[in-house]
Amino acid sequence: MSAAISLRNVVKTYKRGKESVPVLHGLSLEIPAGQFVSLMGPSGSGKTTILNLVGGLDHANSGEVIVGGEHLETLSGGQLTKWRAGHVGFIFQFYNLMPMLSAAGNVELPLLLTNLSKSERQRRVEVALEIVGLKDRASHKPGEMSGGQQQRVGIARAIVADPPLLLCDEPTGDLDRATADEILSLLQQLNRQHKKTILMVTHDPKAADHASRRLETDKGQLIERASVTA
Amino acid sequence: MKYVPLVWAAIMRKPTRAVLTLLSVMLAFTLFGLTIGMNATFAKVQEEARDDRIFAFARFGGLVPIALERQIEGMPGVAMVASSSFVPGYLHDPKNRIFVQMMDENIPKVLPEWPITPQQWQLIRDDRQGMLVSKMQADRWHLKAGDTLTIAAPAARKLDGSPSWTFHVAAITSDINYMSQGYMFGNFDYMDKARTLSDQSKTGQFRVKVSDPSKTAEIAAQIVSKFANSPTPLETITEKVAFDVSAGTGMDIASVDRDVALAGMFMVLFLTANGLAQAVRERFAEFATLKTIGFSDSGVIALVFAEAAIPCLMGAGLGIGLASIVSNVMPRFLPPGQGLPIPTMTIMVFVWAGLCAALVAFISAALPALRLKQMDIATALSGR
Repeated sequence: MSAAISLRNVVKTYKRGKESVPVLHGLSLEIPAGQFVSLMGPSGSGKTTILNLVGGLDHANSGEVIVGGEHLETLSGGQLTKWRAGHVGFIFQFYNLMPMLSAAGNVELPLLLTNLSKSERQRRVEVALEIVGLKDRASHKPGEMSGGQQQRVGIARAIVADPPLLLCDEPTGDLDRATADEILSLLQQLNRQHKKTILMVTHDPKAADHASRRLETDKGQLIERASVTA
Repeated sequence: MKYVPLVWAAIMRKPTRAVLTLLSVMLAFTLFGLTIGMNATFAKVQEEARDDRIFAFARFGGLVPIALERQIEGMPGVAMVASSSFVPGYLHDPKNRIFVQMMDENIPKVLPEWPITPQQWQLIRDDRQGMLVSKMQADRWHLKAGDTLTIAAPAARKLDGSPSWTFHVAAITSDINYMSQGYMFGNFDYMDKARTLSDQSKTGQFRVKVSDPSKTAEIAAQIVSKFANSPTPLETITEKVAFDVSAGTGMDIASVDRDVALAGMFMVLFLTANGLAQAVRERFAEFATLKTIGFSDSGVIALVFAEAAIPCLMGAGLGIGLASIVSNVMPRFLPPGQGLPIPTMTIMVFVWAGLCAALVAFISAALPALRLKQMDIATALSGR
């Protein structure tokens, strides 16, 4: 299986005033296409930093970040933006939906960047909402939906442009256990049926159990943990 | 077009704020339209003023003996003199003010550019109670040729003490550009013969036409000098000066108008810039999300510019529209023929309004756009 994500000797340091805070020290990681990987670790251990680097939202100080065969460290800001639109779907802890747009309007956002016709955009939005089980709530605004439903809209928005990679930052962090399980099952379904590679940051060991591979960050290094379920 | 719902939803996210902003922009552009439209009127009036004519009238107010007309006509350089007076009154109710200018037979020769044919002038010569009514006034009072109009004029009583002046509408004539409320012209002879004996053979003012336009000012001074020691000293003013709104005020009225319009624009600029900055600040994480899912810097900035431009352009359109309505309605409440200026909504007023609205939108959006361009997505998403 080819690597969907490859990090080689990545170093990342943040500046806090005059102080430099090292987060990743020569970190390396290979994630084959089609894997569902969870990433756990204490706060400040670099989980979200890895997610941002893989998602092209941040640059490493040194090392290589190769995602889908693309060396992200060589791309400019504009090139990264274009690349993200076609290759990555983002799922956020607090959903990050536009409150004034309907569910369909939110899901359609990534498609506005394409040359698809209005009818084709609508068709794809319907398909995405159907996958997440919200076809009948297309016209509802986020404020009219529960947290779980809002996260489903967020997932539909992430998959509507059919990116091969989904990056999830604490996708169940704001949900109760039952709803969280539903969302995690949905992610499993996307991984298994739709062949999405998923990298999920979480603090929740039960959420991590839904992944096919478990990783933990500690002091800027990665530790492989045995999977409970797959 | 596909981004319109996104921009519209952003604007209507806070409907009260959006509506109040729109109303403020609209009112500012109404003021803008009226002031710049007034300047357009001043420019038009000034353009139409002739440099070969002089107004002459009693220096200390009141009427002037008509006999002076002959004496002025005999002065070197004077080509012709006409006289006119007026009947100020109202129709049925003092609120319905009417102002009939009573013209002698020389007026058509001294003011030949007026869009009134010799045949139409002849109608009020043939019928002393005849009246020429401009289209604007005919529309206002629902008059047509053949109608009879009786005006109450307490300030111009007749020989029998009656304030009623009856006129026959002889013809509906074209409007004169600078008479923004239209006009009503009657026969001076009718007025002169009908009023009290003490006022007969007197007129309100002379219109003097000179042979050489380069000597207009000189002749105006000569007229003043000639009658300085007479029982009725005269004052004169050339038509060019009379039609120049700034003359004698010691300031440039057009410039003051522009300053008022500019102040309105600054008010709108502060309002929209502050509103937009606040809106962008509130939605910083949403813009970060848009950039995360693939919206480019220029795309996000374009959304912000559109968010500024839509209320500005809509407000400008509505404001100028309201100014046009006010300009059209104003003549209904003003008596005709007094030359009170009414704003003119020329194409240039609309063009300037559009340009100013676009500029206000551009400046308002500039700082928020710069902030979005410099946004660090990861930091913005983390809420730090």
